[in-house]
Amino acid sequence: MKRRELVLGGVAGALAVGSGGLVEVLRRRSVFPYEGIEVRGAGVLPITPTEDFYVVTKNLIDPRVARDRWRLEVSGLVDRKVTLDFGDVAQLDSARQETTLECISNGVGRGLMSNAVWTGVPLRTVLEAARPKPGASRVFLHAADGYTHSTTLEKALESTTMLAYQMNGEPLPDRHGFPARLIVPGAYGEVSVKWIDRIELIDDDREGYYEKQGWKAQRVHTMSRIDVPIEDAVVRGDVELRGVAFAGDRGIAKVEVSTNGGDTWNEAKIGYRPSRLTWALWSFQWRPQARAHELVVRATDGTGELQTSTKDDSVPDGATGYHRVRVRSTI
Amino acid sequence: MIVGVVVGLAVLFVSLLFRVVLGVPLPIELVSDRLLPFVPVGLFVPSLGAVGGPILAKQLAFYSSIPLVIMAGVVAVRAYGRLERRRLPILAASAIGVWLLALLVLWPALASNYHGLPPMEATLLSGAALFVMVAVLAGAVYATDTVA
Repeated sequence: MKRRELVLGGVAGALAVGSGGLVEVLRRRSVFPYEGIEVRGAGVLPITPTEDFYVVTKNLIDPRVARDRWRLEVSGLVDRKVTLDFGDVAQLDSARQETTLECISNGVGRGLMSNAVWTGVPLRTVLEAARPKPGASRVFLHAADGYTHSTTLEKALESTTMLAYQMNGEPLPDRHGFPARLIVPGAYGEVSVKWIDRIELIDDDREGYYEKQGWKAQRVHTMSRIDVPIEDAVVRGDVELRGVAFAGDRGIAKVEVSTNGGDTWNEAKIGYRPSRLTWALWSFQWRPQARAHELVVRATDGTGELQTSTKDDSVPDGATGYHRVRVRSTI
Repeated sequence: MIVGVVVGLAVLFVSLLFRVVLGVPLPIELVSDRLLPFVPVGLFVPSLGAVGGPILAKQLAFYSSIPLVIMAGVVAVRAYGRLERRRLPILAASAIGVWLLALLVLWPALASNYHGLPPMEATLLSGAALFVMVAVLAGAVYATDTVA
């Protein structure tokens, strides 16, 4: 073998080993193990444990932002451009707020939604420090990973829209936006930008990452889901039906269950409903009277509006329709 | 072929090193961030479904980008080898052209940094990283050709 071939082979081997090691580092940091894991079924808790909270991300590998390097800039149509570091944000009056988030791609009966207690500061505090100009009508949100999204300035100034830095009493995990993210109640999760680093006040209809694709809905549709029993379950005797209902920031006023495919409805008991920003956990005691049943659930939001029965998939503005579960009974 | 693979591996190693140490997006991340927002959701979601869902699609993108970068080395070595007059100035000019084209096409995506650098610094770093990758590609092509 010639010397040149030996050298090339050695260099190739060294580069391959080095690259393999770096690929392994990135694979371990990748979103592959945790993205898209659903929160549903018998184990649903009022507050979703942080490690179980659903994740949907555009990334292959989510950012790892150092807290001392992080800055939040508020610019655009403002009288005074503001740049805050984490210490500045932590010194502002903080608030704790339980809020449920749901992904816009969540289908009927699916579990891309979770509930957590968030700690942070009202975004309004930060925006007002920059003194928005009268013409500003929207905010364009930028994140460290290049993700962008927009919402109305009115929504950004709502008292419940939050710049959060803790989740369930602990600093945000990297995958949930460390060191700071937005929580925008009433809007689908895509608006609650993680790793946020810049907020531009604008007066145009600029579109963010998913908005350009055509995902448009800003307002969460009222939804409800049956967690117990599951599809095709065999039940007997007294059965407790359980599930969740959610209506963005409008709250849940009522949950109804049908055990005969929607012919008649019975009001379910709501056992957990801490605020209008969270999901409600419901239950209904039932004894099957026939060998086959189709269970259906529907909810009424806090404004009195009944969940729509119109079946539509999540593209492009969130799924609608009733969740139906077929069960068999031994009576 | 082996020369091209070595050149491709050199570029791959540098891109991975920038990603792990400095948070500079990989070429596959830059390209997908630049293109995916323009894929209509009516096409995007069925496409993900066709490859088995978003996770499989991401794994496919991540792992297939590795041989693609190596292939770039093979193609660069082949292309340079076919030139009748193989001179450093031609190679350098081509490399600068490729770098400028990459900057032009990827510009809006360059402001992202996975370690949280502010947009201006992130853009400069991503641009510099792309320059280093192209320089490594060109330098490796030249070195292996000269040794041969």
